[in-house]
Amino acid sequence: MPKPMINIIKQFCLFWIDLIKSRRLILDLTINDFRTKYLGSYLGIMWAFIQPSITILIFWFVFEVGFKSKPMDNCPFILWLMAGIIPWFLFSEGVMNATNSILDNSYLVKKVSFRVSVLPIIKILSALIIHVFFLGVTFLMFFILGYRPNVYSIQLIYYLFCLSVLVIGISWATSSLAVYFRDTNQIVSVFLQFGFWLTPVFWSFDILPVKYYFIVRLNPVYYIVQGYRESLIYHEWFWNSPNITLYFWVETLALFFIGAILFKNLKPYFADEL
Amino acid sequence: MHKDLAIKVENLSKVYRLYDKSVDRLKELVHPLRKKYHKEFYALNDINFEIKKGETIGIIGKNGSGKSTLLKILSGVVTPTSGKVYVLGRISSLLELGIGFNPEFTGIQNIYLNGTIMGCAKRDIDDKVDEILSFADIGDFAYQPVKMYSSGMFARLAFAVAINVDPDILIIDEALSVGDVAFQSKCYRKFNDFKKAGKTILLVTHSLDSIIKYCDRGIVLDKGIKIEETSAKEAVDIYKRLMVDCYFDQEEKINDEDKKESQKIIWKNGIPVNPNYLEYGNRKAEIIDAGIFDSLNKLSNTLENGEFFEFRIKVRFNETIQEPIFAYVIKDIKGTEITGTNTLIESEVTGVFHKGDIAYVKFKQELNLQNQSYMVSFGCTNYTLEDFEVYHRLYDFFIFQVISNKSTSGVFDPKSQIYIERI
Repeated sequence: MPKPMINIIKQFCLFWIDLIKSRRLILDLTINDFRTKYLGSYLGIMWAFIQPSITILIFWFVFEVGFKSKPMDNCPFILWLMAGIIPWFLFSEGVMNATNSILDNSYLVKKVSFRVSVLPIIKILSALIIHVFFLGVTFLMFFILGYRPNVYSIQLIYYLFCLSVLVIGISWATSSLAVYFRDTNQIVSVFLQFGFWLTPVFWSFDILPVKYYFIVRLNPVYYIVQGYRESLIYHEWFWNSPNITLYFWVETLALFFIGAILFKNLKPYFADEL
Repeated sequence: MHKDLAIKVENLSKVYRLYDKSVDRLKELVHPLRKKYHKEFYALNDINFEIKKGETIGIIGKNGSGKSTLLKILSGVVTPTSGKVYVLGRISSLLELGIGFNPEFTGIQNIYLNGTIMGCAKRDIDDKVDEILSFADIGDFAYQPVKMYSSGMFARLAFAVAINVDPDILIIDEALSVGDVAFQSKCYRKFNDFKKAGKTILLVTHSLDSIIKYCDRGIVLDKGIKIEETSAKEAVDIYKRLMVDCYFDQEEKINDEDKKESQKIIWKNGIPVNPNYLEYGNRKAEIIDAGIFDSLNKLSNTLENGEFFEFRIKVRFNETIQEPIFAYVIKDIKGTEITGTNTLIESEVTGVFHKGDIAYVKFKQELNLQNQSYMVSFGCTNYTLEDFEVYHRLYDFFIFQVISNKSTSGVFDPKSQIYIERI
């Protein structure tokens, strides 16, 4: 393998080792972040779980009771939708919150010297807590509607990892830019709205003419949304589609390193800008 | 880096780029010809110094002189533009009245948050919470969000946290000034413990007394440049001169001729002049002579507690001046001001002096001081329409000794009369 390639892989591994080493700091700060979000409200942390539950309830009511949507690929529409929309929620929550993570924590960045690069990760982790709860509800609904969890469900861990790497890369870039250009978070939220409809969350991939497939595949979130459905509904292993897996990883790692380099170069001046 | 050193700073500079509009920053980044849209502001310019382990250093300077920027760089929060900073040991810092407190969290939650960020294990923090709370003395407010705190409470809690994470180097920026006297004295006691434990302290404060009392050395900054690195007392004197803009022109003005001239005058020859005295001022009026006279009207630098004595000065006016202020201040050898007064405080009308006039001023008072050496400074100043103007000041001009037949505590003798009865 060429040397720069080895270097990149080394850096990538070092990053995860570092992350594991500072797991206590990250964990504590995540709990703090979670707490801050619901501070002052009477139901407190309960809101973190009430809101997703109600979202799912509304979906169920609208699509099953109201629209009486037809099953997708022999799977009730609500299940099919949830398998796709949950990872999207994590993606958009993670990116949106992490984009503001440096600005929100200016009281720390300006006063204490510590690893600022964990701040976006903390926001992502706190979105992950809600995601895990969502997943639980999803499993419950699958169970009620006759889908037993099986060995393919384990694959979700892999897709969760994919999603995390993707979100970390993007949010390092956006969070460091947000310090310099406050417009960043508006731009990000516009992109997320576009992304939502460009990703086959509400609509099936099959309705597109074949010649447009490649456009959808450009979108790395598609791989994850599809992956969740394959794990929960279609029961396919990810190594059975090696092309798109390779494609996803090239794209995601590129984003990850662009984000890391951007963050590293802009970080020294955060305290000057905040 | 040498083992004895705690901090070493080499050619440190910090340049801030100032943009007129925030769009300019973006324009500069994308400009094809690299056109500059910013103005450069040197917050720190080529600073060098070394601090040994266990030293307490005061950093003084006017507002905007770069003190806070320097401390932020040492704390690792701000990145220097150029130069190197070496720091040996764990730093705990209180920057600009603050510490990484989340305003929405309660005091206790913030203690844990800070401990975590500083890298303390939860168990260690559990052990320290009581100590921190008792030091901060904020009572039930510990369970309230810190946004509810008064600035004094906030500073107290921040200080308590900063000293209790067991740092090797403690950096304090102005944090003590908001505390009340009781808390300040508690902090200074803690400083002494720290010094005894061989820890390094960096202190920024405008309380010059504390610099003299607690610091081994002082670093004077002005406009981002290190002016002087010297003993705490001298640093304070330099700072005082900086405050009235008399530091830089001082050197030209004390030339040999001036000194020779002053030697001719009788009073000054009668008692030894402090060889390290400082003088400055714009010399619109000059103190041409000064003396200390005891109760027998004789020149003397040894006075007896309880007697009446006089400070006398002669001031020559080089311009017409209305209502000048004549002043003296007595300090102890460490530089702490003991007492002093001036014609303005005493509501003396001084009148108008014309060019060439000489004023002969006598300050007569009873001596209430204890057995030790003191320094006296003289000054002739004025409040003109917009400004405080220093014509001439002689800092620590004479050293005089007070003899007393008893020794009360401290420096002041209250002349107590004591009555005891059996009831």
